[in-house]
Amino acid sequence: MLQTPKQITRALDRVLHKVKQPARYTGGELNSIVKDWANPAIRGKIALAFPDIYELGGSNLGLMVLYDLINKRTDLLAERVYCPWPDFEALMRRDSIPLYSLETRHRLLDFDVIGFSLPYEQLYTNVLTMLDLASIPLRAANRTPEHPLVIAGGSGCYNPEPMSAFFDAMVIGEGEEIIFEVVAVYAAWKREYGIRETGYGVEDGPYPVSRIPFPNRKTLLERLVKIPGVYVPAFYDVSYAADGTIAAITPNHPMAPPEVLKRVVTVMPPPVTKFIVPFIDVVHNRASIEIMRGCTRGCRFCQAGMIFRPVRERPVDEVVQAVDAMIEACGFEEVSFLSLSSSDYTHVEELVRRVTDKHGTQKLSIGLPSLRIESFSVDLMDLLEKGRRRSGFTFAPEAATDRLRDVINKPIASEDLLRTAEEVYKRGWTTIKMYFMIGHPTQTLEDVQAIADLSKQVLAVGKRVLGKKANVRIGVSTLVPKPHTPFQWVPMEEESVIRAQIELLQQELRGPGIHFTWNNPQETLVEAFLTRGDRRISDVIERAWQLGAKLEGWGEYFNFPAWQQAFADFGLDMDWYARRARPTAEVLPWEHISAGLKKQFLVDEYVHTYQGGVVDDCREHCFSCGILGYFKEQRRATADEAWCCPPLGRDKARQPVDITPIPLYFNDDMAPDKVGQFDYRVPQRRAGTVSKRVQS
Amino acid sequence: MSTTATDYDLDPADTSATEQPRQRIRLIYEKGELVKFISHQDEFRLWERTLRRANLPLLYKQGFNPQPFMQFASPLGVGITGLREPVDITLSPPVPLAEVERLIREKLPPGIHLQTIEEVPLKTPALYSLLIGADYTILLYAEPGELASSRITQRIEEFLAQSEIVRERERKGEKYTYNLRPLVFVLRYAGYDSASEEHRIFLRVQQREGATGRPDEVVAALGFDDFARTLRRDSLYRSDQPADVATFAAYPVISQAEIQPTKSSRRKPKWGYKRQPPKEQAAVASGRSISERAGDEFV
Repeated sequence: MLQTPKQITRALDRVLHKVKQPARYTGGELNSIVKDWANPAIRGKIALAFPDIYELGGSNLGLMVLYDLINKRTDLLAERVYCPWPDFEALMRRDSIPLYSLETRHRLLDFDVIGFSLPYEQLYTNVLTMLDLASIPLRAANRTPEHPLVIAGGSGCYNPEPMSAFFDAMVIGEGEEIIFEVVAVYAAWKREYGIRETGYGVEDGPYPVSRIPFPNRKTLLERLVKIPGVYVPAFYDVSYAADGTIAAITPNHPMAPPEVLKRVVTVMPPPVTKFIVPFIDVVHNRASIEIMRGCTRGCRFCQAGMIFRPVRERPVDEVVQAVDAMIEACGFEEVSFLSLSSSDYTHVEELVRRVTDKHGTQKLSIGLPSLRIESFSVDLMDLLEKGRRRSGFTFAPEAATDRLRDVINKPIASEDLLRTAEEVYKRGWTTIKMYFMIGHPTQTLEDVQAIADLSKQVLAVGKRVLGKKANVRIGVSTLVPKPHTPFQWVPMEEESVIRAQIELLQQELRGPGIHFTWNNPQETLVEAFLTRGDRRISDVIERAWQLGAKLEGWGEYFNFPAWQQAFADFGLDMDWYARRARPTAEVLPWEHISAGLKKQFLVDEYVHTYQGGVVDDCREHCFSCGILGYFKEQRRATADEAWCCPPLGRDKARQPVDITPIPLYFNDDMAPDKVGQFDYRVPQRRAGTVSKRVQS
Repeated sequence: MSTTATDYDLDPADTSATEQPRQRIRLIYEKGELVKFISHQDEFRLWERTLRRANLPLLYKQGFNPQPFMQFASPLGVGITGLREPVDITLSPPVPLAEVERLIREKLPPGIHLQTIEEVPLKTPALYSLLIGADYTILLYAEPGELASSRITQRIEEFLAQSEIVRERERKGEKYTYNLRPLVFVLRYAGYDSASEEHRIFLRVQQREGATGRPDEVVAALGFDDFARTLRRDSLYRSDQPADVATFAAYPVISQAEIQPTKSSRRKPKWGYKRQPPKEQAAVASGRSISERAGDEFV
């Protein structure tokens, strides 16, 4: 294996012209930060690894935030590494090129800490590809103190068990503060034991190793586990019952907590403005600014809405200034304001107005995804029109009948959708994209038919207003019940039912002006057992990877037979993991990880699913989901407006508070005998849109 | 996205409502080794972003998807660098040239270097229409002894001895063949540099619309595609520069008809041609750009 950056560069020069998109592997982008490895002030070298190709990782905001934060420190450096595309991977193996960082082309082995981001499940096998290319033992148990610390973070860590065999530690929750705590612990441990003083100077050649006999990695893990929010898989034992479910998850080390609570940053740090500007075209080739974290709507299927609580909004001035700074530092033609529900950002109208007023002439395009239909402001559409082309808007109704909307707790009125669609088409935008989900609990073919009907109704509106130019893009995905949501006990729908529903939609949604896409049921199944699996899935993942599974997110490499074989080799059943309905008493594989939600809250919402009970937006009415209980001190330490949870303390009641989620109303068909707070349908936001309308 | 298709002359219907004065500036820059692997589209976007960072008032065309008034002479592709590449931009309102130069130098990304900057009259013909030829240096990377100089000179001799070298290319999904040989005016081995371990080959070709000699084609025709290389455009020759015209007076002007006698004969589909039913997502997804595929998933 080649060792030094110089050797690696020479090897790269000889092969890069043979691969697709060689600029993925060369680095050197504007705002990428290259620090001097020979500088003795550098105490920690961190590799931020995104387990997919450059085009998908290049705009990932989470990675950028950590890169920015770490590199701001003079005693640390952070560099990026992405997964190679198979053509380059083959050449790397052939020419003994180890996986290297983009900035300085150091091997991953030369870093102290490797932090993997796990935003979604389809990337899991790529982690193994990268570890293998880096010559790091796949299993954490096989690593020695010579190997870097391999940690993971991101939403995939909320069920860490499937990947638990491969990581020394996994970070639950937000990483902005905890990353420094982890690095500090590592650096102290390294100093104390004199470990891993190997490395490379400016040019070539190792400088002398100085180490005293060292203990195993357990001493490091013992220090890491003391950091709140760090989960060390090795310190927990899982025992199974006769039927295969989990009997118990118990710590086997006195310092390991029985439950690992996620980390929450009390106030979001200032946004990144010096984004790395990719040379090549990447997915979301734009600057992203997070305007709000968390969501108060409580849609029952949505993991992000559950795990990113509490809601914290960024001050408008901070965002506007960030846009200015971003343009000067990066020059992107599009900036996107990210949140889980942008219409719920209090000052969304002011934000868009101010940014377009200032930068509209430079043809700055504003992206505002995640808009709700009900509180969608028509004025907002007019403001977004300035700047560059956008072909249309995206909405996510997810269900097409009122009954099913009550089930998932995402109530919208179809008339609102049609009215909004009309406003969009009237302004000349030709495309409306809508996302629906199939496989919801209690979903019938009638509900699916309603998807087709609603889509055609929207198209009819468009044709009436715009004629032939109007079109509709329908994206239908299959519900995968996710951990830490009220749906975590719901069975995933049978494949035959899914296929029947897709076939129905294929027949209905055809013709000019309709573009229909759906998910491959096998890909969905893989996502399902990866997200709901337990520790035994680690073995399956490794086996499937050995059999050639990789890049599950890319249709052309999706290898279902490898997964089938892997499951067979371990005597496990895919459907048992993915499709089994779980009783609420069962010990779930993520039982020991807490997103800050009380189990009773999730159970209540799970019960409401089958009663069609619609629950308030929790800005209107707090249901004590658990966040305030777990994060009391942090809440008290912040200003009242900093969180959208009620402030704690006497004389501070902002909205009504209950200890259980009491529905506004129940669906007539599903629970005719039950009455909620109201006995008729009311909107979730009764005070109107939260967005403060700008006084003109 | 294509910049060569539009006529640079300002269409009266296209002027912005404010009728502000305009300024046309010609930048000569280097695309260096660091950004060797970026495509022309990437380069276009790179310049647009540089000017936006510099807060220079780049003029945009009207329309649904406004494109900037920025025109290159001839695209440099992936694997091709350029020493003195021209690009014309239009600013409105005008900005003092020294200020433009300062700001651009400050905001250029790594890999691109500004050589010179000058103001040119608004009505100057488009750069792409003025081209007549180009010089390249082909740098083949090889360790000492890996590729004998004699083999290179021999292959060059064989290349030049032929009157017809037929190559196949694809354009907009259609394959076509053309004769590369007449487009190559000079092809000469220029020695091996052992410090940087590269063989140098000098190439001079015609560069005109419909009849352009491409350096990657020449390398492939010579049979050296397996070697790592940089194709470096050293100069572009223009019909409005007397010195350039003089240099190229020695060579004939090759027309498109001469190198491509039979155009491909695939007919366009008739009006009312039925669309195929939507295929499985994987098949449809291939062949589309990353952003297009992502566009299906996200806003």
